[in-house]
Amino acid sequence: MKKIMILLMFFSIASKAQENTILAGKKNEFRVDLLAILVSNKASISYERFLSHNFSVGANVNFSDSKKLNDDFDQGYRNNLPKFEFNPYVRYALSKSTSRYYFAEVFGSYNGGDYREIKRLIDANNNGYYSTLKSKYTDFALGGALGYKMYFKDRIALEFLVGFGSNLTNKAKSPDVISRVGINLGYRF
Amino acid sequence: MKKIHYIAVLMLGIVTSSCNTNDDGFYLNKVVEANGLIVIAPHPSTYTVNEKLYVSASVPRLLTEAGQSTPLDVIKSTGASVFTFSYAIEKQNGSNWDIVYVANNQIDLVKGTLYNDLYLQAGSNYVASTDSFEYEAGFPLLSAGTYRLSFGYNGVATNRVYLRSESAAGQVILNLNSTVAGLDAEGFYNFTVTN
Repeated sequence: MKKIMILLMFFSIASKAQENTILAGKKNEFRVDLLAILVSNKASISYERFLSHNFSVGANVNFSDSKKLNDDFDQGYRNNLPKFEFNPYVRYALSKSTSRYYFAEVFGSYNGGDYREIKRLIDANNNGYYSTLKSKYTDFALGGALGYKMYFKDRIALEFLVGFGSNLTNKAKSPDVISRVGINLGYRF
Repeated sequence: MKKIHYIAVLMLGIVTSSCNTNDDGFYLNKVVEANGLIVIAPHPSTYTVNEKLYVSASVPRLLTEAGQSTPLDVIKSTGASVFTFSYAIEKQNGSNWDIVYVANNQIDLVKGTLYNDLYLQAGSNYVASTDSFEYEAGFPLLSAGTYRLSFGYNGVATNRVYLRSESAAGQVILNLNSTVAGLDAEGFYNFTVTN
């Protein structure tokens, strides 16, 4: 019985080592965010480059066209409408395994969209009137995230990600908080 | 144990994905300071039973706006045909104040519209001939006692009242923050009714 247990452990360790070796040879990964598509009507794709066992860098781009957000914006329930984000990031793996691991991430975000404000204008009769004017905004945010990633068949990635960033330069017009939340499905090669 | 981790991360993700709402609010409201748009008809503070207490409102289409050199076109701003405000008449009952209800047909509605429920919701309707939004109604005082009139349901400062535009979809909602003469420091118009 003891021998069987040792044998099983050996195979398990050998299998894990082989899996780690296979993944270590694949340095690139593309992902799409399923949560963004289903919940936010947002197209979000990411690329990640694995630099070492622990470190990786990458970037995410997403474009939003949510009917709910558009309606809320048009009806005055929000004064900004985020349209796009470009989020470069650096990740550090918190677990030893390369096939299933937790990671921490620091990200930047160049983001923008539409902004609406009430302005007092003067008409041709020299009377004032208030009207809503739409303009564009852009801002830069910094933030952090935590996530968990697992691989299937040495190339298919499933990743959970939760994080926040704060816009820094144009808070009067941009959203205060950038959320970086996703359930990503990826391919590593 | 791993399942718990997945579920925790997933739940946290779903919760936080809907947390980016600190920019929510309502952004079509515009407050404009104006004076004397609502008037309680001048009268000695003692009324007799069956007299009516008249309240009126008049909002010119071209409104003088504090701090501006040009008049404000409230129709062009809002697309509204009505400005609303509310008030209530209360009668003292020992240490309490009870809201006084009367039937619609007992109220003398001279101009505008009136929704008579827990309080009186007055509508100043646009009148083309005067180029202004007008309301006037007389509330019957049916029994003797100590009364007070309050705009407190929609006021921010005790002596000021908001007239709110019923704006067209997507247009600015004007809140005309107007003084009302005759109110005490707590925002009440106090009067008595005798036989």
